[in-house]
Amino acid sequence: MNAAPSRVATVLASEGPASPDVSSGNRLATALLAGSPRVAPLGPAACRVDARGWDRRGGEPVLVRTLREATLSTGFIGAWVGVGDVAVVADAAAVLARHLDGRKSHGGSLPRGVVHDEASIIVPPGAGPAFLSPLPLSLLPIPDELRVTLRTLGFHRIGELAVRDRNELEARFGPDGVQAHRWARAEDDRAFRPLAAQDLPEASLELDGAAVTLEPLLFVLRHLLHRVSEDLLRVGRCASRLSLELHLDGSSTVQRAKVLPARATRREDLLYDLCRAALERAVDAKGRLAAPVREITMRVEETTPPGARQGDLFTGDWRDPMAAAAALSRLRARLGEEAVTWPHPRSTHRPESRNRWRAAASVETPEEEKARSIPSSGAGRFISADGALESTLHLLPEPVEVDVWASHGCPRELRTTTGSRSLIVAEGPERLSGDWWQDPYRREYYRACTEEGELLWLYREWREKGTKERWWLHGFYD
Amino acid sequence: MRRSAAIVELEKQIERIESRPRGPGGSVSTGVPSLDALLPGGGLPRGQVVEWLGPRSSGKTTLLRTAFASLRTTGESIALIDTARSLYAPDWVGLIAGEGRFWVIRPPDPGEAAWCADLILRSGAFGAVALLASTHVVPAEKVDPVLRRSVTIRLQRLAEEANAIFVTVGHVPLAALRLSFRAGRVEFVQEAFGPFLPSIRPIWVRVGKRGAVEVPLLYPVPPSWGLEPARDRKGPAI
Repeated sequence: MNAAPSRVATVLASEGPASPDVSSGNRLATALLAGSPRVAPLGPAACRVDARGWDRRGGEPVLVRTLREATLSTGFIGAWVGVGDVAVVADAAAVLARHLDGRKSHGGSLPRGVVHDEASIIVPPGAGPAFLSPLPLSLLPIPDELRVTLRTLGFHRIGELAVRDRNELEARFGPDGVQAHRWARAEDDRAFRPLAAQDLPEASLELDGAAVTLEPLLFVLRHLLHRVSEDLLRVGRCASRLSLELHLDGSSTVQRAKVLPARATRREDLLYDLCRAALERAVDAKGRLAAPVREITMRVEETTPPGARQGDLFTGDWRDPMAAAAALSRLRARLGEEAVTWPHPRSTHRPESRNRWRAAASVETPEEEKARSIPSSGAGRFISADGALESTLHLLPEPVEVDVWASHGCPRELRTTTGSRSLIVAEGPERLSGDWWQDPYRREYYRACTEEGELLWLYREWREKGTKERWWLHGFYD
Repeated sequence: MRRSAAIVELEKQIERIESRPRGPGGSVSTGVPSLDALLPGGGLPRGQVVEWLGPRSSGKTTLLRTAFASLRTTGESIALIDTARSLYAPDWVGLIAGEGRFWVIRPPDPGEAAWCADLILRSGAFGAVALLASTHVVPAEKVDPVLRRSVTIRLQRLAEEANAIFVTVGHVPLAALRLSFRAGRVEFVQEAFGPFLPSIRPIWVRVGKRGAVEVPLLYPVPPSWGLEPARDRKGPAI
């Protein structure tokens, strides 16, 4: 049902000086239903549309005209359309059309067959790779970090990436590199999730009197959640993003709070906990709101189909992934987004820069599950061929300066306020330097063992002649 | 009437399910066969609090990762609460790929660690939860408990209800099982001004009063090397 159609149109709209919000996204999605029954919102002012079936209705130029007219008639001041075989081509065509708005041509570099008028670009079937090839890399939806790295390595055009060997990119950049290569070759299997604008439920309630504490809001919160949850159930969807709006008494000010479940859900108890945690951040230590609230609105901003896994009768210890999602959501709501993490090291020499953890934003989207199942080099192998366990490192949050006595450059004794400790074995040095363009460092790392058996990771900082030698403790093995 | 092979197979599977022990129980391999042989039940017991004690560099975190890698193959979810926020991400990235799910919880305030463990165990969705307290230089027996007695009892009950493994790296009162770690004698490995080489040294893991087992630990090439060591280039020498 959510398979990508063979022809896709991307519509970008502009509201002028005012920044688009969620309601404008709903308005755009509703308007585009005039051109296609399958519309997938991408954001506040962007949608993808299933572009099939226009052969007998005048062809794709007529579709483009219909989509533009529908967009402009809804109050938007600009509309740009790109059409292609897959989403990545259609998206790039729409962005390029917006970039070239008002200009007649693209310097003659568009491939044969590509139709370009003032506000749209239609890429004919099969011409996606040739169309993408001369375009800048910034038109691919790849992570910023990867884009910067690729630019540093000399990749500027999409075509330069497309001709590279996929295995080479996988070895260097992992799943992100593979995905970038697929997109560069106009291969895109991202699901098309059509959504009618009216499927986004919302509920609102005006209070009898302005609320100054949280209790009245929590009381009506359950009622709003029940209504929203029933609407979601009716359309067979789950909420992946909600917002709470507090309308302040006596003014037109609206305070907004975002609610992001770890996994799309319509469970009232879970959503209640998350909404409550969001509201609790709006009160002071005495439990009072910053200003009296007269109305509260709950708005579902994004939905996805239910993604529950099938339980297995023959697996004795089957566990409910939704329960895991609920627990992780609560952890995130209380401790912050960055508290629930996955390891995500950067490929760089500087140890503290490599040690990166990224927020585990969702429990398991299909894309993440697919990426996770790709075995990376050495993944899961923590035992060497001769049966020894590969040791792990603990990195101190910040390197701690220590007093080290060194003999012939080799650390021999560690002196602290509590006494001195002999270093009976020291391996090294491992010399590291780099980042000369922003924050240069030059270090000599040693692995040193104390008499008690503690294995430390020390480094000596490069020094100018005549300056004091400085040693730092960076971590320890355990 | 002749029964189909599928029905026969289904009956066998149902028999296997019915023959399983009811309620909490079972164990999970640590990934080290010699240690499993010493542990009661042949592995880390489910539904009980297990404390791991030992000074720094005695291999506690290393064995924890190996045990998690072993559990991951069963497809169960794992949560590791890194109270000190000191784990080194490249060491753990291998647990993300493949079967099973793995999360590291890094609470901004160490005082939230017990609450995290409570919430995760209470969900019943995790097969293993580990609470990694900050590791100490002094022998762990002299260190204050990482959890209060009442909190430990509460978490013990939750682990039992969830039939999950609950490991605390640090001392807790009333733990059902204690694994004591000790680093082995340090051998001369490599004098200074030589390159880092993979080196091995033993640790001893004692299981209560049942005995101890020697486990070799490998200290691999420096963790500062790139993700692709074979293609790596070191910076210029100082």
